[in-house]
Amino acid sequence: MSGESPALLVVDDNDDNRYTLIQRLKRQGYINVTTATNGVEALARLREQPFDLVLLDVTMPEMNGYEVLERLKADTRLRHLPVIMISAVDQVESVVRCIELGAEDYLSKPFNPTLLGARVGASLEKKRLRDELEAHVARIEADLESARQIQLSMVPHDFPAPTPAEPVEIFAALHPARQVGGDLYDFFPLGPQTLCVVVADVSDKGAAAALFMARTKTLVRTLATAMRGAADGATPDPHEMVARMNEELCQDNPHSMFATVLLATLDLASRELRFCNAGHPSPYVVGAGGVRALEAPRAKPLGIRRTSTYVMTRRQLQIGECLFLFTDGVTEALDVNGELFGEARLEGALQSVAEDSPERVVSSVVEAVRRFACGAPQSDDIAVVAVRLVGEPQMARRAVATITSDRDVPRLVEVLDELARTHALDAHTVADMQVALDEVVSNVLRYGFADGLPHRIEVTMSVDHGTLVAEIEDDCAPFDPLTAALPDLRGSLKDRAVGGLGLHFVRKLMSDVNYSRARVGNRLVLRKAFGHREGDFHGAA
Amino acid sequence: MELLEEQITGVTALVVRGRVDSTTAPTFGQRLESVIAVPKSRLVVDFRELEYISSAGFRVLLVAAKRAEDAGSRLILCSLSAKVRQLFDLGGFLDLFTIAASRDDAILAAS
Repeated sequence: MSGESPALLVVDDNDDNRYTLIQRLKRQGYINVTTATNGVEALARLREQPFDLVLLDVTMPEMNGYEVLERLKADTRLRHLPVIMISAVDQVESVVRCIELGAEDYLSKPFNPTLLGARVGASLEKKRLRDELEAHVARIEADLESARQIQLSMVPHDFPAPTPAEPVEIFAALHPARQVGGDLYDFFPLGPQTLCVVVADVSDKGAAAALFMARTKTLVRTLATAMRGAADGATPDPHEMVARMNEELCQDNPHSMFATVLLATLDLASRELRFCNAGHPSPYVVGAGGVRALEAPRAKPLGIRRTSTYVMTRRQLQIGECLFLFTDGVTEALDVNGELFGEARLEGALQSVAEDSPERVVSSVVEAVRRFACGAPQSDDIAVVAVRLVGEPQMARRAVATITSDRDVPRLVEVLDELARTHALDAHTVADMQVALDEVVSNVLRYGFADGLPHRIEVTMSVDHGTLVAEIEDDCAPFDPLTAALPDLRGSLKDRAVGGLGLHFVRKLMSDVNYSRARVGNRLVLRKAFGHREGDFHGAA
Repeated sequence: MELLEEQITGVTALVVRGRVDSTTAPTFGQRLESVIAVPKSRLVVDFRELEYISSAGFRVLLVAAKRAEDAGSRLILCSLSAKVRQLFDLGGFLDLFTIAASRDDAILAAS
């Protein structure tokens, strides 16, 4: 409509009236005028092309003005199209009826040019404003819908099936009350055999909460990575992570948005659960033993006070048990009478699926809340996560490389790299062990193999309680490398020898080196503790 | 281990990528030798992408440094990571070699 002359439809059975009306309209600049001689034709035109205004005669044969008006108002596409009724001066009753039926205005014959201009202009202006409002609302709706899609895609939807190395099942759901919301869940590996699970609930709902949710969500993983890096690969504890998140969220937060958080780490091998509760509802453990809430000190939500302190609570999980985290959108869901869903109903829903898969646990709770609300609008965002331990992690804990000549040494590097990947060992630990193995093995190859007889070296690598262990067994002449003289590290380039340097590296880089005579040959055990700060083991070495 | 060589205004820059150990050290040594043996040559060895270096690697570095002295050439190392610096430190090599913080510093010092 903008820029062009508005499209008008004139409906009148009288040729003279139509002609007069068209001429008057043209004089006022309305050149895009279509005509119809009766109601049936008018409806046909209206369905063919869009119009901005209809001028409709009340009295017509075949289908009169009332009927056309009724049909228009019953058609969802044409309902908002403004209609000005045209009537004879004495037809006040019928004009009133038309206004009641939804006509915009009326004009009486004979036409007064000023009134015609004013009423057509006013009706068109009203339509233009309504069209603009509709377009504006549609734009906001579309914006919110894409925001919703983005927000929902920010939380993981891939729920990996349990593997021998990670025998754990996970399922989760996120249901914002409006298009977007402030709840979130996340789960990710936090190190070898440790899973991090988090749920959070940002104060308020809607777009503001959604932005703070995105900030919180990003922070969890970024901090997890940064803190692991700073601790040389060691797994950070939940309260340390929560405290750092709080510091970050207190910054640049003038609107005092805050978030309650429940952050847990689960060691898949020891099955120890560590968690920190920052103003959040207590999680549950669900299993054959029933449903029990994990009570713990509840610290302040994040984003309120920079100096808030956070504590960690430890609990032991059993194989088969399910950890259930949720936001208060579950317990505070309202039914049509304004009653709360509450903890008792939640515990009931959990009890009914106590030994089922996380997917069943999540859907049982979500379904129970939906049935309870029974058509009442969702009062708050809902996030739920269930994590179930299904067994003991079976990992490739040992790897063996056999070496009979120089050509086999690269194999040693590959085997250790593979073990390092499986256990997500940090680069420093791996580099130190690679150097130490290279030193020990090349030493044996140079001196032990010097007698020209066939020999073999067997290197067994394993990961045991935070320690990378390599056992090097050979069938060569007895030699204890720990008795070798220390190299002279002083002196200028000219008189600098490198004899003994390799074994010096081994002793410096490893946490522990142990030599023993084997039945045949030698046995050297190298141990490298990981998960400590760089300085820790240097002092001990 | 990978070796990438570049020529920059009369200086040879050798980027060492990966690991220098008993398996790869001979190749590393040959490449050092081929540059440094040319009298009055200038070689910058860039360790930015070096994961670790074992004593076999230090042995060839020492040989190369002695060769450089004899040939009137210059050997400058640069961009040591924390891990590699630790190994240099443990071996007492930090004072033995000319070590620059960055490649640019090294090239400046070499030319």
